[in-house]
Amino acid sequence: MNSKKFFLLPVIMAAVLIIASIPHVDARAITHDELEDLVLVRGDGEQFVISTIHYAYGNNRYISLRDMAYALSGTDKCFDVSIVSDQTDIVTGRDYEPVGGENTEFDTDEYSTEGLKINPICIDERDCMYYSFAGKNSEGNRDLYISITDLAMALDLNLRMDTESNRIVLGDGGFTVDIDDYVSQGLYDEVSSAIVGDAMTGEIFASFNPDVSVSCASTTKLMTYLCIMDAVSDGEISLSDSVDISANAAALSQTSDGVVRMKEGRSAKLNDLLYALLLPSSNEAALALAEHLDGTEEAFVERMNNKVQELFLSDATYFYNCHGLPEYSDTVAASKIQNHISARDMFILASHILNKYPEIRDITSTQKYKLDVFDTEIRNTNPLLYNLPGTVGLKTGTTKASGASLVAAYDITGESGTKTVVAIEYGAEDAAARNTVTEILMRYGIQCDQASAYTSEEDPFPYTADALIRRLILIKSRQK
Amino acid sequence: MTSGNKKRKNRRSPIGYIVVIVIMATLLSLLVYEHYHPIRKLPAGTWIREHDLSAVTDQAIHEWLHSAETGLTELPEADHDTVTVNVILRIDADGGYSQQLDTASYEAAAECAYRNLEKSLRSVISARFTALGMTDESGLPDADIDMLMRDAVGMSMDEYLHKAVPDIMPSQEELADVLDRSGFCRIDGDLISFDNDAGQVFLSDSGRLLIGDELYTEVRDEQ
Repeated sequence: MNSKKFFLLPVIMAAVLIIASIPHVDARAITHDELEDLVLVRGDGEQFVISTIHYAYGNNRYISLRDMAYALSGTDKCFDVSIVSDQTDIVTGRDYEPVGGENTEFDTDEYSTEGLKINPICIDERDCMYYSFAGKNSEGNRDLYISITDLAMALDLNLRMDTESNRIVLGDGGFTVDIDDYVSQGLYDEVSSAIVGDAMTGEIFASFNPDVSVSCASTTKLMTYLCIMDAVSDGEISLSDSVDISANAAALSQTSDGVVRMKEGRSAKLNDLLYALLLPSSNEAALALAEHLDGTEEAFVERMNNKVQELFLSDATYFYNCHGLPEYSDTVAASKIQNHISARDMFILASHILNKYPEIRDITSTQKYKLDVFDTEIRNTNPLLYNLPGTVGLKTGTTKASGASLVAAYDITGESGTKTVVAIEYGAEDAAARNTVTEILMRYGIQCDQASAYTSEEDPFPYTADALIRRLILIKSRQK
Repeated sequence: MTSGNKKRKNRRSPIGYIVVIVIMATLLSLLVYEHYHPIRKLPAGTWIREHDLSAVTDQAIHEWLHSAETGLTELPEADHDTVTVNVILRIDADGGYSQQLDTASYEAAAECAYRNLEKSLRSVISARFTALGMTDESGLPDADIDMLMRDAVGMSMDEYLHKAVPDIMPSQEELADVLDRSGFCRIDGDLISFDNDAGQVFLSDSGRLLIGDELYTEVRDEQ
């Protein structure tokens, strides 16, 4: 008996080791109906078979990267794809070497992928943050399925889904945004509000529910940043101050809402805490900064709401805390209160910060930062920083109630100076939708700004108040 | 013979007394009646009143500034002066009257309206620059705005507004169409009516004339 038990033990241990070594895969079986072969029609009339996954809603198609690379071979939009393990590398301007299974109808009863997630993609040695499905093609070669719009933006393709003919159409030239077309296709269907405009002149290029009050989640931290920096400007505090981590901040860092583990009694440089505030959205850094300036979070929140008045923001904006987390209310039964703002108010706030404190770009355009005092490296969560070179900020936000949000800024440098486009989205159903919608808006804003008439003092006489003020702002900005 | 003469006395007639009493009573009655029902005379003379155009000009200012609301969720308030033009009313003793717009006051009213517009525009410019972070919360100083105006349009704020907003006020002709009139007026009890209109209650008292709710001041010729 004893010898049986003795041999059972290693068997059990081996079984445990084997089970533990199986890689955990967030597998989602895609049925045959959702895997669909579509025809891609090139500008020269050539047609190719593209495997697609029809995901979730609308015309949200995810298309095979290998099939696309095969279809674009020999064109001025050609690109090479290499998928090794989890890593996908794309090199534009280089023809694709087929590995087998491309341009083939993929007829299968059952097809599995690893679920929609950010699979590491590198385009021309630049890390990107696009959502995709990782799967295999008909020959069993690893493939990546990425949304039509994301691929078009990433590789500057004039690529779209023609819903009438149920075909993918590849036109000449690069990616452009016809905002009316996108809106009619449901661009705003999955968001609560959105706005895009020029931060320098205040010109709005497009908006959707811009004055609706929405939960602002961690985009709150932009107001936190402004209050801290105004205090620095006024001499109340200094960027080189040593900030003590209180019991409250340390406790917050230990909860599920904690981002950077902090210990009570430790000290961190104020400037370092600004990086923690804006890159990975550290709630405890926000609290530590608030307490350093005003002693208590309550006093700091009063400062935030006073700032709302100073900036002529609307009644849609009000803050209850310095970080944007939802918190339980004593006054309303069984509910949570959240900081709220409108997209237009956030546009005003973001523009104000970008003009008054241009150095915010140094922080918000940083992808990684080492926080030595906490022995950790923090990463920027802003997807446009990786997907759209030229992006300089600013802040993501996510809560269950408010959905996924993003406040993004992009600098356009030209002969007449630098312009900044700000694109804001609130309430997307998920991060994938947030990333795509905001990037579309940002690219549209860039198109509009580059075509903007307000570039020269020689423009026609400004008969409207708005035209005059834009002219004044342009002149003032060039005096900086 | 003397005793007969002594017996004759002069007797005064009672009719005289009665006449005097009647006259006194009549005069007293007239005075009482006049007190309670005074006999009105036409307020002949030259009268002047202010016609308030503030609401009209404020509306024009608001509409022109509306385009500048981009970047502001509400327009900052500015202190406006009252914009008025003078209306001159002449009434002759025989009932003829004429009313007309005082053209000199029209020019002054227009300048007042432009001053109000300038105040509001400066306020909005300052608010836009503050909202964009291009100045601090105290706003953009007037001197800075003036310099930017020179660079932007080559003229002062006042000159710019006269060019950009030529119709901040109703035109002189439009106002004259509304205000200028002439004809005959008459009194009926305590009502004065012009050209057979329904009549309005009027009061006149030491240099002031109130017709309806319009107050006129008498213009006295200086000698």
